[in-house]
Amino acid sequence: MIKKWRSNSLLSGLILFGVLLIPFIRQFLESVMVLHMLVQLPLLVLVGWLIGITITRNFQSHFDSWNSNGIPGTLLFVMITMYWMIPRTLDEALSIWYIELFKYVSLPVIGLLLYDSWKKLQSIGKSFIYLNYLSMFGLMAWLYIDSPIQICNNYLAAEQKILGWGLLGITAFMVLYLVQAVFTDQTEEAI
Amino acid sequence: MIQTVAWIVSLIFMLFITIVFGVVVLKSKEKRDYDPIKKKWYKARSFYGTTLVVFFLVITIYTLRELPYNQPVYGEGKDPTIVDVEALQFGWNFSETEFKVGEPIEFHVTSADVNHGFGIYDEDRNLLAQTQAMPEYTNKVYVTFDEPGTYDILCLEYCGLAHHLMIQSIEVTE
Amino acid sequence: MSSLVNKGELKQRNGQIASYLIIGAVVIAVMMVFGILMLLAQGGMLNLSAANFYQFLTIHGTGMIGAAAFAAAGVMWYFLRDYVQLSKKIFTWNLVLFLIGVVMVIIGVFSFEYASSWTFLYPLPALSANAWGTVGALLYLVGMLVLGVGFLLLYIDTGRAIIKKYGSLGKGLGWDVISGKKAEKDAPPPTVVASTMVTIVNVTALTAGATVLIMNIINVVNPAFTFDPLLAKNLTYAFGHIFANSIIYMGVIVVYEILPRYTNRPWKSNRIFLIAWTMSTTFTLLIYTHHMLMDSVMPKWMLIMGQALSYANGLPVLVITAYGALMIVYKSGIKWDMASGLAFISMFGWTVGVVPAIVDATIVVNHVMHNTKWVPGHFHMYMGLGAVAMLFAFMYYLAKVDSNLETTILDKIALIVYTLAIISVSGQFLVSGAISTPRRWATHFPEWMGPALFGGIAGVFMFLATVIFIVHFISYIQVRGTSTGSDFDDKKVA
Repeated sequence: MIKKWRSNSLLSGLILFGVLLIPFIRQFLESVMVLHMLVQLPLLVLVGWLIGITITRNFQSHFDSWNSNGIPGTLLFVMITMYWMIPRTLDEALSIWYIELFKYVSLPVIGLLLYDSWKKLQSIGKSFIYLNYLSMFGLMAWLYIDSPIQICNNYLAAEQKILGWGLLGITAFMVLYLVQAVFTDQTEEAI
Repeated sequence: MIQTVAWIVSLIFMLFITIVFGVVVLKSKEKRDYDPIKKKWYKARSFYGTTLVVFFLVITIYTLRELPYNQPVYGEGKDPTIVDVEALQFGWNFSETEFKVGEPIEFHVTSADVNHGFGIYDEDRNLLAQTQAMPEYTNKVYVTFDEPGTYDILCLEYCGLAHHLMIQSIEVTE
Repeated sequence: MSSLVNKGELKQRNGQIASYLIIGAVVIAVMMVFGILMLLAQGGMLNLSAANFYQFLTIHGTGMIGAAAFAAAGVMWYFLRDYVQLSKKIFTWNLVLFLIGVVMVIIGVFSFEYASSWTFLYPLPALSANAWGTVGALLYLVGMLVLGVGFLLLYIDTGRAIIKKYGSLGKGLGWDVISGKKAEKDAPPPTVVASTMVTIVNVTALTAGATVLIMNIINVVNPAFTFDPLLAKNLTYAFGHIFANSIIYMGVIVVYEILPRYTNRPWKSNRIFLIAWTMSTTFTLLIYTHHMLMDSVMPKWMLIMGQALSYANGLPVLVITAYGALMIVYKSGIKWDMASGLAFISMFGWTVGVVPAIVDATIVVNHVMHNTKWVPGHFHMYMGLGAVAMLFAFMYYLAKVDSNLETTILDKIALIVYTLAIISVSGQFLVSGAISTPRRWATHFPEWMGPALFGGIAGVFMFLATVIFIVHFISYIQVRGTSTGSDFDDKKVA
């Protein structure tokens, strides 16, 4: 049963990847800035996560040899996602083919690493990463909403603002989730 | 003057607290059972706590009646003089620097670079009013000078190495 | 408490606690020297270049808060570990990151002449009028970020541990006792309540601080990216106010823990105590706007709230904490020594320090006292006579229970000198504020010099007293673990 579910995840990961590669879908998602950053990029990470469920299982020892506590994988994940949060990179992905290629390779890879790392990471590491992204998303929201200039060539200033509000929404959601997590009773889980 | 009132009020309360702590230290050597002490002083605390809350409420309401943010009501035909002030590292740009006693003035204060503070000092170097000078924002100060003389504008927010040299004089005449 | 750990392990752990305290205390003493130099320069006794003055200003503010918070975290950790399972690894990591951060900040300030003051108000780090460059700004800002990461890890760990033991942070604050679901006798002990409060406010503060630090870093690296300066100011003061305030809430744990041992009277959480701490938690998060009362572009309701909640925030300490300390000492037959004396003085310092703070949080007063020396007057009293006295109280307490070291008459003299000196330093600041002397000014007009000079001289005495405290603590470290009797003997202090 579990095995079947695992192979399903591999299959669904590959299908999702294929769907994201379809030129029409790719162009549609990249035509709007907020879809580009908040839909396409996370979906590419999801591809890696789904594939990772199978891959890490089959090559567990290989992953454990360098990512035994999950910290190296997480660091790589943080660095790559931070790179993709820089305003210019989205722009370059549209105009430079190898940046686009890098996007389609790097994001699934770190998705896979995230799957492998997250389950190994201790709760302190998880909380730290969570708070790190909380402040990063907040900062990016601030940057995009507040920027008086058009940061990207391919997207209009109005689109930057929409993305900013999208990021702010995510930040707000993360804060709410955090608040409910620390203020509702966790005793059952502890047992 | 507000500073004097603030200083005296603070002194009185700080002195009172010192006396209370002092008395407790003097009485600390005596040894009594804790339960009766607790009972007595918990009761006293209810009274003291309630008094304090009421006192704070009264003071809050009293001090919030008139805020420096509110534009004063100007008399008929007495439009205020609007003075544009721009702070910069390290000096001031004033749209005008000569005023009359009794003339209502609005300083519209902003900054060209970093945060500065806009503090109006009289000839005895007493601070009369202030606001922050911020880039991208304009803060307002409402002043009417009662006395003629030379008033100084001092920077009141740290803004760099020549922060303490940012002084501008304005003249108020009869 | 010692039934769970053997003596060797305890000794090792106390070693790390001692490292936290000695690093904190030494940094505090060094920062006092910078403070003295600044006052003497303002008093006209010393010729200091503006660049040096503002570098000292930057390092003094950053260093004092950083070191006091660091040592206070050590105090909190020492007592909290008796109630919850804390990670020693994280405790070590915080120490390592603290040292790295401090070194970066020092190099940034002294080698690269970075002097934005601790507030690093955007866009000052990037726009220094050529006083410092990108490297200095980055060293300082990244150093602060590294410090912040260490503290954040520490508070994530305390939060995790409290949630594991008590179920949630709400229960750590005793909300189930307040609501009546749990009996008062099962309420979390004061140490846990205080630690929960500090965890909540500091995780918030550090997240806000990280955001505004990274924002400044982006702006320094590429000035084309600009941000809203008002939001930056809000985040900066939210971070600074909360983090600085948390020091006394960590420090007070030592008072909660040792005064009951000295007086043989219990100091337990009850419903009113818990309500007071929940109030402190909420207000500490919200009242930072009293730093922005002179920004009239702020929404007016936020500023009015800033005043009203600052008043309200005085209530928990005035009605519960200080009152509790007075009650537990009153007619208790307490045996005064260095630890109990400093603990009691610290409660006095906290309480009197609240007075000028509340006065200044009044908008009409703030209009003529904001950014005058009244403000350092308040927080030197509150921090120097309050929070830092708590740290010294703990140092004497630890030396007492963990070694055979005796205090001498010199320590007692130091206690008296320290108390009088810090009252003098705070007092001269308050006087300066009352005569409108601005804070953060490298030079003073002649009519402002007197109090500053007096403060500088008083500061020298304060420094000497602090050195005596530190010498005692170093002597303890050398004979650590020589305590006879059981390793944590309540009888010894009684």
